[in-house]
Amino acid sequence: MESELSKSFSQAEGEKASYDPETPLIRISPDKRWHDLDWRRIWRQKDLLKSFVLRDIRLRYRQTLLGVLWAIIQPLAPLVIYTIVFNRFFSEYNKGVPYSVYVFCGLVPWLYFSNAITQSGNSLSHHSYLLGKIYFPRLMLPMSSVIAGGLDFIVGFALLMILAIAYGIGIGFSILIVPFLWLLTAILALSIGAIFASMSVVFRDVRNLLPFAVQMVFFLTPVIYPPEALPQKWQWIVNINPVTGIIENVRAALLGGDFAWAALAVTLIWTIILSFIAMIVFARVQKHTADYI
Amino acid sequence: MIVVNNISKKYTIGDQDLSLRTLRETIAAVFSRSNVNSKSEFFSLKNVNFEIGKGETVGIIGANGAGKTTLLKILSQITFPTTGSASLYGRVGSLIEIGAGFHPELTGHENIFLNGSLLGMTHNEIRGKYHEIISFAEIEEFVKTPIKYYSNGMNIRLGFSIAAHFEPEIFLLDEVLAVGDINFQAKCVKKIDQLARSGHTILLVSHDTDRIQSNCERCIWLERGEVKMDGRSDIVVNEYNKSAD
Repeated sequence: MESELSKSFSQAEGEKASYDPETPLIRISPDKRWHDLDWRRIWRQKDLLKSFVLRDIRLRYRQTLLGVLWAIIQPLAPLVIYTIVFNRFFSEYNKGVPYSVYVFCGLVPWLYFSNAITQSGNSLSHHSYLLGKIYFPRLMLPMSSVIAGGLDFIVGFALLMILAIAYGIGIGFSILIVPFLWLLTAILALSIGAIFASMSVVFRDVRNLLPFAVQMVFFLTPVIYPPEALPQKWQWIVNINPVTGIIENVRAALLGGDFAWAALAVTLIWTIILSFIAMIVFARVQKHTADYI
Repeated sequence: MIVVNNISKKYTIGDQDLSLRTLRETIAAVFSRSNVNSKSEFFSLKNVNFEIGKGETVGIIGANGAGKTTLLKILSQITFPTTGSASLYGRVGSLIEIGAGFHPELTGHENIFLNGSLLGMTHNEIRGKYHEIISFAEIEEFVKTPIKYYSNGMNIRLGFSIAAHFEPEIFLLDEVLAVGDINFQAKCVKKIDQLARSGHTILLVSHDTDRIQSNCERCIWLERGEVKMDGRSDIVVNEYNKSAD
């Protein structure tokens, strides 16, 4: 028995020497390190990401009464309401831009950002049935939520352009910054969503906290009002808000005017800090998801 | 090849409700240390060591709560050991539940791609084996139907078929052969034999000692988280049955 085992061992040792570098070697140990996010495996299993995204999109629109129309109604309904209610309050800041277009520039990125945070923040608890059954890099769940929401952003942005053109606003080359702004929003939302997702594994009430926090931040973000409308002594709130840099630059790209570089820098700094925190927190929690959930 | 090196897994009893904790309760717990003493520890696995060579088919037996599933979950990277380590040389396919991730609203076709990529296949690999998968599962006519209309048997056949065609170098199976009808079970056993003969390493957890004896040359017997016996299937199963009487 002993010799048989050692024989099979040395056989395998010999094989290890001629080991195909393509073949993965998995090492399991209780250590926690930041690279436990398993980037290598995420890359190798990127088709799973595609499958998750396709599943989310299919389920969102299949067998619903209105189907794909939801993607259009979701941003248009609040647009109509905000325009009716707030139009006259902010007319003095308009600079000749119709309020509806101005609001929509903020609403489209905001809806994407807030939905992405909510979906990715809940992604681990929604998939609790899977976490105990099979391994895959857990980060793929919040990642796929953030990517799947991108379709809504594209639809929303197309509507925004139609609205702008309808009001006779010319669309220039500055619009090319929008994909970059989208990417920044996606990474920011993924980072915040991943932090919430890790916390929701350990604490039940994070699931209730999330929609509440999103609602609060909405009012602290210049979506329905221009940043200048705030009193001077509260300006700092929109200045440190990471979403301001995204919304103000979508406005600059579409409505003309200078890019808000300072605000963009604030967004970038937040994104870098939060993505590091997210990686550390998520790597710590992901190994224990199955034990908690 | 699988090398398991001194793996232990500790659970803390009285702590099961951790996922139901709220922030307030956690903060309260930090200040009042009183409930710390009421927790007791228990080892689901304790200093487990073994090596499985390439191409071996090994069965794992043991009573309920002996740590069989915990061991498989550790090797599948679902949960992690408290101490010790394990190395797996090759792609791992683990089948703790058949058809993991299946969504009832999606069609058979869509679920093949979802479940296949969950197991670790690329979409190209799945496309290459697509016809084998649906013909093994005997669902050719129903690939465009949402699987909520499938019978239980069809679901199981499809799930096993996807996993079996993944052909990982290391295949971890948990009680999966206990499901499905007799005909399909026989088909599965044949498929596993075929995988084993072509050099795949297979670890099979089962209550069914007859199955272990006929499928596996070697068998590991776990008792209360420890390896009680490790050797030729007929000898280990014989001892195991004697102890059960």
